[in-house]
Amino acid sequence: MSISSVCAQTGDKKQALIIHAGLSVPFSDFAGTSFGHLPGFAGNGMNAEADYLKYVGRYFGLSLTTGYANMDFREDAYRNEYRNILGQEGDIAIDAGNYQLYRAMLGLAVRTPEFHNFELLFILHLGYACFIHPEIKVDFADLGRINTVDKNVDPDNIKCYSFRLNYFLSEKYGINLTCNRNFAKPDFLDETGIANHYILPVQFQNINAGLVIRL
Amino acid sequence: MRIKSGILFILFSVMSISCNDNERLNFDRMLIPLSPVNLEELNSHYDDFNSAGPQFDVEQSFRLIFSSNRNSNGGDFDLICYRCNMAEFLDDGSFNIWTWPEQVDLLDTINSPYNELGPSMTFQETDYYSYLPDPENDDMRFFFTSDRNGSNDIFYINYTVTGFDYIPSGEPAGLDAINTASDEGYLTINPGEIVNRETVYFTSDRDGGYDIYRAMGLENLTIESSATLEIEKVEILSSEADDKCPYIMEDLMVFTSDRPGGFGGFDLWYSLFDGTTWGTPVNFGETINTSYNEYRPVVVLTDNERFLNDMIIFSSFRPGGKGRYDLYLVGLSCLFN
Repeated sequence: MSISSVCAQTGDKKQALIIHAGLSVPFSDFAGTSFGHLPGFAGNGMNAEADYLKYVGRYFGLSLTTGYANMDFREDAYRNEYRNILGQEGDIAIDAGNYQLYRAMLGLAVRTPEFHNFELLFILHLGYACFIHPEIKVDFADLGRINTVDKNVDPDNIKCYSFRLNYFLSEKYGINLTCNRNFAKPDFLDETGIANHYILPVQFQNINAGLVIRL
Repeated sequence: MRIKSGILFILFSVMSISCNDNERLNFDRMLIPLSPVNLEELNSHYDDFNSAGPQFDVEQSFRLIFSSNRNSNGGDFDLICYRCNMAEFLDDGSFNIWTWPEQVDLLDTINSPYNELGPSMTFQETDYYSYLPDPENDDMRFFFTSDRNGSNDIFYINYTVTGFDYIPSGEPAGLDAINTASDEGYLTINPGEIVNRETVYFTSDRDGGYDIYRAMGLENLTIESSATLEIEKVEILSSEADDKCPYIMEDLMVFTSDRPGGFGGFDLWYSLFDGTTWGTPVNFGETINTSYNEYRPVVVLTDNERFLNDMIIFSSFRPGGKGRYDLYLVGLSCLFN
């Protein structure tokens, strides 16, 4: 859920709270499923955000947002890649959790004037996120456990840009559609890996709907 | 306005930073490929086969002694030695093995104008680095097969290790208690099978076709020191077809056979020892075997701290190699020990 505070032009409302939730869709390398391209093997997930925005001047605002996202780890694709590498039809079992992240960001918003109860905002965010890499276990036929990645956490910076469309149903309340794209490069540990860690490009977009409350 | 533009510029700049390249694919330990790999660096356009593997759990490097007729341009077979060094970082799923020839005094003493085949040895230093063996406790015997007396016979020679070299102790001698006018060869020891009685296995066609035989030495004597041996055909390992080249590593015997149930020509088979008897032979399957001849497998155990699996080195006449018989390496996809 997102709390977006828009400096409303009507009356004295100079801030807003937006709470929204929806689908998280990884893209680019984070959604990659080939070992040759820094893959994240991330699948779709859910997110919830809360955004507070304070209007500054006629066209700008400052945004403070916090949220949580949970995205699937695509065990089927991971299994296929190991199968390709091993060149064997033997049983490969993948046991993996999900990617998770908690984030808090500060941003600069640019908005259009309200027109027929609509307003459109573009927001650039910078912030910090706590990325959680899932535990992954790979078992192959009679050889047993062939790869292990422990669950681990990396706090790292995150960048985000958002497009947000608000439609006000009344002086105080409205509904909201948000689409944002997120970029980060957390450094995850993999103790049995090549360099004991890897920097994973985390790229995903949220497609959310929610409630706007003018404060 | 300038300040706001500056903030936007900084934000976009931060967002455009490119990603670093990293390798994600890996294994907890090194994985030896599960499909056969041609040992290109040590194979020649001639026949290269009949290797002897090391008797220790390989960490990185070992010596591979095998037969080749490259020195005689396709004529008689000699034993030659290559150092095999496996890449230290194999945990990305790739595999590399570097090999280079090494001069071994012992082999110079063994090689003759006749064929030298089927080597096996009881001692090999445990690393590339120099090791000084303990003459009192280290068993250093080298067995091989040669037709220098007419038919294939089993010979042995003792040796010592000096630096990186194996120095022969005396001249090769035949295992007279085993050898007959028929072919005998490919001796392999099964340590500890019978308490205080050294037990070996070998191939012979003394009964018509090639079969696998067991010989037991006298109590507290090595096989070559025993004046008489108790020799018997191992029925469960032998078939109506030819069964050759037994090689034992711990409780696993690998051998080659053209018995029914294979994929054509000679195939690689294995049998497990339960402490008393050998199990029914099992074909290694079509990942390893082909319609061409697969021959003389040896098992190379690896250090479990570093490797996920052990390996087999064998020879094959399959297409795609350097020519004729080539040596191949393949990781075992199951654990035998």
